[in-house]
Amino acid sequence: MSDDGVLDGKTIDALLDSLGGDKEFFAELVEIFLTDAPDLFAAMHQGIQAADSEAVHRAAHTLKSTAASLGALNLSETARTMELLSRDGDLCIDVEAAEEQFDAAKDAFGTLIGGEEFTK
Amino acid sequence: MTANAARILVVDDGAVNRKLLERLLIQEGHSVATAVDGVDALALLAQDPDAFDVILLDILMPVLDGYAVLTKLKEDEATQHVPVIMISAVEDVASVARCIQAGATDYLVKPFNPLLLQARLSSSLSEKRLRDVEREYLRQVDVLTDAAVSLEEGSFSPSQLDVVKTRDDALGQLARVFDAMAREVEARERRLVQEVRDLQFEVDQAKTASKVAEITGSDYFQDLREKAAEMRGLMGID
Repeated sequence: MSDDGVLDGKTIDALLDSLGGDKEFFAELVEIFLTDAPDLFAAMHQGIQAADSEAVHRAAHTLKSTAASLGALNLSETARTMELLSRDGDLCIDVEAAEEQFDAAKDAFGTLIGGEEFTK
Repeated sequence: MTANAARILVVDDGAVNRKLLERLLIQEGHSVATAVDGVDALALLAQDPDAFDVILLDILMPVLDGYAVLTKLKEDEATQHVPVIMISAVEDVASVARCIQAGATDYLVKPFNPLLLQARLSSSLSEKRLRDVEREYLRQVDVLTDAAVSLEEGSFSPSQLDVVKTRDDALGQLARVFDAMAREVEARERRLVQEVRDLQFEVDQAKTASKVAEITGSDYFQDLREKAAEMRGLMGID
């Protein structure tokens, strides 16, 4: 199981355990996350441009929650910081840094799900 | 579904959490419906307010958020009895307090622990089932009260109490006694009506006999009878 700081092995193990070890379903959840996250980043960029802190807050909140559920804890923590700042109306937030973490998580999920240990 | 199975509505705009919750609940034997935001959830409940035993409600959602949905549910008499468990990544105490104050049964922070979810769900379901028993009891008290009113108005039908009579508690006993007495009153009333009819018939018969006697006893009638006898004699009719 991946535990390289990008993905939290304990969270993923616990999630798989609660799913009765259904790795296929876990992969489905990851797929949904990887598909939906770019829309959340787009919403954040748009929100910053439009000075709409509520829209940024909502997108950061969803990203924080979903990333945490799937074990992408670094990304979740960054999203949490963006959520707290935008909640207070502060839009000086580094969306690009979160996007980089998302890319790293995407690679790590790819390695995990395509890995020999996961597929056996 | 098992005996503890429930009908649960999951309201969450996040597809991953929605799908994950749905899966975990189905695994536990529950039946699950999902809504993607507050408007979607209220539309489902408007179709049938009694369709769900518990609602799992996210807070931060587009269109209509969880706070607004919770307030609407608790304001509406048709849905205020349904337990609502807030399940959200909003983790500040003020948010928890706001939801509990608005009538939420419980609050779970995302990412949630499946065991904790089960425990909270089980507790809310027990509470809901107790409340359902109480609501049904009060509804049946109303049925009995309506029966008493209809008996007074003369429109009582014994089938009105069919459901209440089957209860094995004091209310059921009261319904059975009431039903037996109502039937007795009805039977007595039927007997009285029949007796009045019989008496009426006897009175009518007596009146007719008296009228006949009055007519046949008159001089005019006697005169006619004599004339008729004379005519029969003249015509040779005996």
